[in-house]
Amino acid sequence: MHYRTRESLSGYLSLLPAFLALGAIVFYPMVNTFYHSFTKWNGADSHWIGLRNYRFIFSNGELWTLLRNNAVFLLSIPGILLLSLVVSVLLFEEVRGWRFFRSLYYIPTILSSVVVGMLMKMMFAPSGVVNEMLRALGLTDGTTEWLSRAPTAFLVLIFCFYWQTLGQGALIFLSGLSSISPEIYESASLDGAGWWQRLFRITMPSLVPTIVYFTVTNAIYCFIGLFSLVYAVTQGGPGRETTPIDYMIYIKAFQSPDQLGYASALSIVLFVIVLLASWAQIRWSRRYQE
Amino acid sequence: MNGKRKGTALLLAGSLMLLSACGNGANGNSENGGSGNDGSPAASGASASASASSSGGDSGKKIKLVFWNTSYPTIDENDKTKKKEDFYIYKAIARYEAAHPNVEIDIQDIPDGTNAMTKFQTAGIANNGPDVTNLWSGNYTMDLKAFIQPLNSYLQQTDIDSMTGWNAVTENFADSGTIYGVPDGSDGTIGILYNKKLFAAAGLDPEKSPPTSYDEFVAMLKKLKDSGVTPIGSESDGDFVYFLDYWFAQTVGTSGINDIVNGKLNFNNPKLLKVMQGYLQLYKDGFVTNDQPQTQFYNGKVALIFGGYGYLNDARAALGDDLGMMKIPNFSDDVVVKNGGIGGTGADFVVSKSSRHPEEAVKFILFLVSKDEQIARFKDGYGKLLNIKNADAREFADDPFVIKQQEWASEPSTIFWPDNIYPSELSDYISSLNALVIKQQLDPGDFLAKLDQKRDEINAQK
Amino acid sequence: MAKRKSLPVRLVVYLVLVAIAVVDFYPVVYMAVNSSRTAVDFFRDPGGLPAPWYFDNFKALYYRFDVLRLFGNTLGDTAAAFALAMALSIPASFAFAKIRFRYRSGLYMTVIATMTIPGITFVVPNFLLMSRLGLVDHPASVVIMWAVTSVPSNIFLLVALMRGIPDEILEAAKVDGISYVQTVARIVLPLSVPGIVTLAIFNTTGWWNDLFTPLIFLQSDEWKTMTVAVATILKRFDTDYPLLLAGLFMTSVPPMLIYVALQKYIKRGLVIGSVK
Repeated sequence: MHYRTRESLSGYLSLLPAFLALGAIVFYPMVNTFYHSFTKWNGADSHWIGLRNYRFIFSNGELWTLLRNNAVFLLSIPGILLLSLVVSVLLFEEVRGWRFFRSLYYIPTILSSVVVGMLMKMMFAPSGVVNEMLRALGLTDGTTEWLSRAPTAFLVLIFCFYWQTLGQGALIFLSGLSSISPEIYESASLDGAGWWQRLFRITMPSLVPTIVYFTVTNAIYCFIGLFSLVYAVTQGGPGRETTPIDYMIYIKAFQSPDQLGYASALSIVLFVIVLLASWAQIRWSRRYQE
Repeated sequence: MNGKRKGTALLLAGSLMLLSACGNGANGNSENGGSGNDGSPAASGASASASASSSGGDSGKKIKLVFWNTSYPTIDENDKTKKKEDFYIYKAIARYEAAHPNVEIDIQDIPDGTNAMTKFQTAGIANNGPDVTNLWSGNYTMDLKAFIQPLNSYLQQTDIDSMTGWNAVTENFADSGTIYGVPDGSDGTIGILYNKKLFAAAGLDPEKSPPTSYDEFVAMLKKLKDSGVTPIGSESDGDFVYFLDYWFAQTVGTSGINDIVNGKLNFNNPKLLKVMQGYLQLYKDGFVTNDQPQTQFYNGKVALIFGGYGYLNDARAALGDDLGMMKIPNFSDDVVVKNGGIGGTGADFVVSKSSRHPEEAVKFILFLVSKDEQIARFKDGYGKLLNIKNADAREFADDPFVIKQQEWASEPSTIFWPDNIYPSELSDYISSLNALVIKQQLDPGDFLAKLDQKRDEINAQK
Repeated sequence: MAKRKSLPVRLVVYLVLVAIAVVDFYPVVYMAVNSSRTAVDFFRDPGGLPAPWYFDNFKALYYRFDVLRLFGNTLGDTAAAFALAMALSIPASFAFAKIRFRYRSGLYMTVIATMTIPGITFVVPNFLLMSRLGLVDHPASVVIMWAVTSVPSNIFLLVALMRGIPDEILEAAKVDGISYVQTVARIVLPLSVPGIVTLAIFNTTGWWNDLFTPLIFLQSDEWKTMTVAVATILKRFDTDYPLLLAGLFMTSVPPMLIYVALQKYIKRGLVIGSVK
């Protein structure tokens, strides 16, 4: 009993610094934001307006476009998951220079969204190098206006997302793969299991925790991390066609006077959505693991 | 166990690296901060002593003004070896400090446009704003007035009388009332800059016979296109602010723009719909490219762009005597304002509410906008004309287009920037949606209806 | 592992990997090459090689920016933030992973849930907080913001990793009477190094590139970070693309070097355990 209390105590003490810090920088602002979501607020003065912000959010029709835009990114996750998996499995085959490839794939992840944004704007400009190449290859007539239409603008954004995530995926999955003990493979080989069989019976199942980590963090990213990328590449355009929710929060908070209350309400809405989504995802994956 | 030892070694190495990194960072800071050095002695010296005076407090008499520079260039595309202290604004500050030994100006570069406003807003919320900065005028400034000092008590009538553009910084754009900024220069009047050579190749001479109506304009563009050149280069938002807004404003008049803002008139009315359709037709006919308009124009790939004084220097440098300039043709005969253009004082200097020396701040601002300084920065190639009432461009400029710009700007037909009159959120919304319209993904009627909806929502939230 | 593939299969694998590598790395090459051109040359042929090679863009950067200071500021801020982030995250992760106490999973879920909060809304309350503490325009504000907001995801990864530490080692330590602090320092830390290095890469490169936090919290040139400085000065020059690219290239080189320096330490032993 005494021993137990001591252990609990050291547990709580270990958490204390982190919780104090989170309390000041995250929890308190959260409460603050929640309160202000019921007010009209310019940053200095606020007054209570009840549910009006929420009423606007749910009635002006914007929310659905924003959610659709987040959903587009969300739906692109399986693609990058598959790509990262394939690349990792190929690299894991110990091809010569796998370290080099892994490092190279990681480089785009390191680039700032400011850099990515300006770079992509130049490369995907109508007279840019991408069109030039596509024309040289005879694939298009080289006049595609990538960023002027929602579908192609999304393609560019998703390309950036993939481009910046592949390195991270390869890194994580390679580490996951290396945790599988070689003996399992060897005994499987002795049992006469072929490459594909080993892939689906051993490799994939043991990667499940890593896959969950990858999908959960990227799904969260698709809700709350897109701002800087979208801001840099398309500014949410054309129109508001590629604007995700967190970008709209930015617009409302910093580019619209007296709208910090509205921005707060929108963040609360986003928070609830993401919480529900990740909860469902973790629930689902846990069931899958069992 | 082997692995464990390896791990410890790695950790050690990692933490050493981290430590040395910390050390480097700290050293780097103190070294630079302390002595000021390579490349920019003036600047680092200034900031070092600035921090000394603010923390030390030993020089109680010296007043430090923080100036957020959002508009003066500090890098030169044409002279890449130009040093920081050789730029106009640094020289101007040196002049001011020499004349006012008790004042020290701490200049800090801040991003321009909407980023500047974001930063000004957050700083204002924390009562941490700069003494002086430059913002866009009109509603862009008024939207931030909770954080801006009213300046009436610091300004003399003579200051006000000597300059133009005060409506753009006065509450409700009135002739008198609370003044929130000091108008900064003039953007001239937005017209058409064109390439004479390309026009001549298409058999056109707009100097002799300028297009005066929509139909003549279209005929001209068609000739250009038939000669094998893209007629118009425009920004990806369809040059809403420079071009479409002019047709809007001339159609409903300045009072009409105010009525639209107040909700007395809708965007979605037959006249503006007609404008939209005419405008969109230019895109449908393939007269416009939205790809790097200025660069394309300077390199002779498109025949014309919309622009005012701001582009004149670069365009002249690129095209020389081949550069032509004319007004944007009227959309139709029954417009309210004829033969004009958009322009005026699009920017202003403001003093933030957190400034502890507003009086000194205003003095510094008045120095920056004084006739001598405006001429000096003009000569340095700054992208603005003067907003001094008795200044004649002929005294200091020899480019005939500069003189023409000045003349245009003083004509009553020059309409003040409508995007500075709309609520800033609405301006932002219009240019994002217009990017859809010109690519025919949004019907012009729906576009106008959406603008009304947005306007109503903004007004309802007031 | 010990599976030898036939030559054609290996060739295809190589082709795929190389193709991805080319697409992956081309933009970086594009940035490097085109930063050494004149604007006119770039406009004429955006896909070609510089003719002639032109290095004045880098001269402009050198004359305009106090490169050493910017570099020092950014490095100092990221290093300090990482040290703080680890000081907060490691004990907490260990507690979540290996110590039994009441409300453990509840508290854990609370921390993880904060990962789902859009950081952008906190800018205003946090800015007010920092200004009350007198930390605005002081690097401490940025360091604290970066470090604390990274804590939940750090915990998420470290807990997963630490769960993999065999209980027997810890039990043995307990039997030997080794104190809690020593256990963390001597056993848990060394075993978590691959995870910590991974986090170092994830976090520091992200911070290096962060525009928004330093843009809002820092003001004077004295404290500016590289990304902010470059974004501030160069964004106005959207017609001289090569000049812009030179600036972008300059900001991108240091994080790439950080990565190259650190990646040696990522052993393949990095394991992400089960996520619960």
